[in-house]
Amino acid sequence: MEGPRAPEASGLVKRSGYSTEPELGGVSTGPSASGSKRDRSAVHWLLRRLLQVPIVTACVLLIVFILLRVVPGNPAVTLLGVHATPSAVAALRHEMNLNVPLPDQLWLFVRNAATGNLGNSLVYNVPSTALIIPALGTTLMLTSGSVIIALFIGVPLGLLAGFTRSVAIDTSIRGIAVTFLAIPAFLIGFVLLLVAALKFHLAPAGGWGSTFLGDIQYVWLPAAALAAYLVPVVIRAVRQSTKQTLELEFIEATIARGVSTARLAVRHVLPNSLLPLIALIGMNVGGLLGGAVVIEAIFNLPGVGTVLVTAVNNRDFPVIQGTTVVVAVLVILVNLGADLLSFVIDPRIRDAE
Amino acid sequence: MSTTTEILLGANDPYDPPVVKARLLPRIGKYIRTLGWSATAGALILAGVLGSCIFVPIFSSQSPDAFVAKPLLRPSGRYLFGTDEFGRNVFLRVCDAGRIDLLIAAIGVLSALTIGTLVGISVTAARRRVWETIVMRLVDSIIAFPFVVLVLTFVVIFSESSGLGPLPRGVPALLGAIFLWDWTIYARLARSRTLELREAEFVVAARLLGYSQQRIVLRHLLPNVLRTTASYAVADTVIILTITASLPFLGAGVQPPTPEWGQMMFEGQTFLAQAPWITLGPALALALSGIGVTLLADAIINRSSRTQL
Repeated sequence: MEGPRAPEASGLVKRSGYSTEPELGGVSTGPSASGSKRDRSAVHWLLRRLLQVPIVTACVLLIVFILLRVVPGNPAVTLLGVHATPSAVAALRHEMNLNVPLPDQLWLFVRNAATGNLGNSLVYNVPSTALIIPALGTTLMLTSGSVIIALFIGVPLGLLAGFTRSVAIDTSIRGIAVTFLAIPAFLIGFVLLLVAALKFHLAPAGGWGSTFLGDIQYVWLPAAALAAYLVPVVIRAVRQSTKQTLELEFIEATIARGVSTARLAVRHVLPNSLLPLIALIGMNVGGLLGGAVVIEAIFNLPGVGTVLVTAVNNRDFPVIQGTTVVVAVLVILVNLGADLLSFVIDPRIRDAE
Repeated sequence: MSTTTEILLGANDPYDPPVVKARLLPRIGKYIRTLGWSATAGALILAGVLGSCIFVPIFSSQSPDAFVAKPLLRPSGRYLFGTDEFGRNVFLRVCDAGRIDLLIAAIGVLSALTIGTLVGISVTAARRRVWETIVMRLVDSIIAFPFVVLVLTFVVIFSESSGLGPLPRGVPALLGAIFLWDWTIYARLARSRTLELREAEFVVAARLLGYSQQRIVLRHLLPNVLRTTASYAVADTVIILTITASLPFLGAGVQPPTPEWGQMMFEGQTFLAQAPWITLGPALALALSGIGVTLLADAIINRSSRTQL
């Protein structure tokens, strides 16, 4: 069961690979959990999963650390450019702790990161966390908004495609999914910006409000653009799990009992799509955040992406480094959250002995 | 694998002459036709884009950088996508730019596919828990980086490095970043497939026959695992194409003056109101190649998930 679905799943969820990882795969792919080769008790799995978080976080820190150090030559000169004054180079070397031995540098970096100190911005001379944390709110609002929009569009379409007997409807919904899968979200952002914002003035063309309600007015259009990334993924997952669920015996029994199609869809089929959906959103959050970076640049939203791009243009390395770490840790935590959520809501995983 | 190829090609088999003539292209064509009409459509679209990218610049008498007509001309029979703000032929530039985009996608995906698959198989087949843990946690942590963020960081760090050999400025760093991230996907896929396969009867039999680890990996596991990873690779191409084209909006990626789809769209943004064709030309090329690849990938993944196990 799990084998044949693995490549299919990874194809449709873009950046997965995840669902095929055996230790977690049994959980993420839901119904096949009991078929996993290495059955472990649920508590054991939970502990392993929790233990992964600090390990992976440590690896992330290590990678960021190495990325900075493998730059050929003097990193301070590389960052400041060849025309930098010697005093600026010396200051940066001190700032980056480049004057101490490498193991000590690593230790300092990890210790600082653990206490929330990700270095000072070279341009604004404030802690980089002071730039990143406020921006994080905007980005989270954008991404969660896009998830909500994607669910509102994708789930009904996926259900329809899974339920329908009409080849025409199924094919056209799948065609929509393929088209959106192939067209980058930023292109759709462009079109929305041109048509909805500039031509019909349905929303501001960019910027950010000051109140929560004001922000929603600014965020819905970019969120819709970003949702284009997730919609095809949701459509395909719901369609596939619907088709699979419909073949199960209990559905036949339910139909025989005379339950209406609407009730069948909402009460009996949809809950079975919930688990793949949670896993799917969990594993796509990385791609979503990456897409958010581009969308923010186009719509000029003050999110993490904008902070990152500004830092890139200013060669403000501590901020780049800080953003990378923060975003990576965020992805790790969301992935953990998705796994824990599936653990809580699905008795098949919770009770798997 | 190679035995099947020999049988299919039947180079020295006098009893099967028609198969001898089955060269690579007709065989690919035949395979695609068996995948269904959507795959055929995808392959045709892709072949169209690929063909114009390769041949239009060759047969055109103009240089893509030459100023051939008045600036901001509307699309016409002579200039399919009009001219840009300098009076350059946008269609010609789109075709020229496509070479870089498609080349980056091809090199990026192929290198990641090769290395990732090999790492995934050998780590899993060797059954050394230490190595498995180290490599797979490394994979986990690299996957934790959103791709765009990692590419941006990487490209910034290495942007000082110029082009490498025939590769223009910005491309080596981009390829490095793509590889650094992308191999992990294939390693994961290969690992999970190997985990299933290493208990399969034919692998156990090969082990009992005393075949070397190398032989088991290369002759028994690789052909099977490659089916999974290679079908994912087709879908992956779209992602790489998209990311390459979105980087110029963030001030990274392929550096001007090398024409590249994302770069052209980014530059055309200024003239969006007066001359949308400057932006829409490359956008159309990008969308078409995306749709072509996705249609093809869908069919291939469907097929391989049906035939596996």
